[in-house]
Amino acid sequence: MNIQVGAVSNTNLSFTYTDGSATAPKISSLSPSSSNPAKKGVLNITGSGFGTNSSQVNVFLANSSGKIYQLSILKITDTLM
Amino acid sequence: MVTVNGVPSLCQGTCSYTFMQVSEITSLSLSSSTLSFGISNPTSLNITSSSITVTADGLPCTVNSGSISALTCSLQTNSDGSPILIAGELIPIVYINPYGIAGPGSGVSPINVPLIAKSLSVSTGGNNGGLLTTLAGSGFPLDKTQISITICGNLATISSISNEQIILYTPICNSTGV
Repeated sequence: MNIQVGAVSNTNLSFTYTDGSATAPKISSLSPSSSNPAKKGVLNITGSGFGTNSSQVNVFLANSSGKIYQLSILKITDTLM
Repeated sequence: MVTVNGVPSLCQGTCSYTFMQVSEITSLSLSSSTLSFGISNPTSLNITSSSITVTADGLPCTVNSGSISALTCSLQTNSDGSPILIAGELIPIVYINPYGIAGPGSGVSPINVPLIAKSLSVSTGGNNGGLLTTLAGSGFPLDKTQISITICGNLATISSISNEQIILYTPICNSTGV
């Protein structure tokens, strides 16, 4: 991990990555895949490994500027949100 | 000089301005959350400590009453009492009313504020990224645009930041390991 503030940096801490493919939820499709940003709507996410407890799942959309929007989960199954 | 759309204005009265170096910072030190400093010509300025305003790293440092020859101010603090200071070299901005800002004298060294990383609440996770972890330390800026954190060469997304704590999402990584 590299932390940089102006000309000062710190690399004391490290983060260890494990293979996330086995446990990660997988997304196979989004519907719709694009939308007017000024319009609220419902996004269907199809995949696997979502679980069934919405309190344990967070869904975010990020725009090209890096701004992150959190979505509300209306309904969840292990394969569809 | 005043210009309007690139056109210099004409002077029709008193338009000259003379810069005067009336005072400068002659000493600077930090102890706990107290900044001690001296200024040149303190008695000839005919001022009291209430004439002085100090800003450190963009935050007000409250000037304590006392001798004009040995000035101190109290920095804003974190919840544990440590001063809120951002990593790097610190020279406070000392404003003397009505004279202006006292710049640092040639013999004054800035205070070096270290960037300290103490711990990560979660230090292992999947290489898909997106794991929320809390970084504890000190010297962090209060504005997340003034810091960058990379893990596995990729930028982490900062959720929230304070002088001593950053909550971040780990980025994706193409490999496993450290």
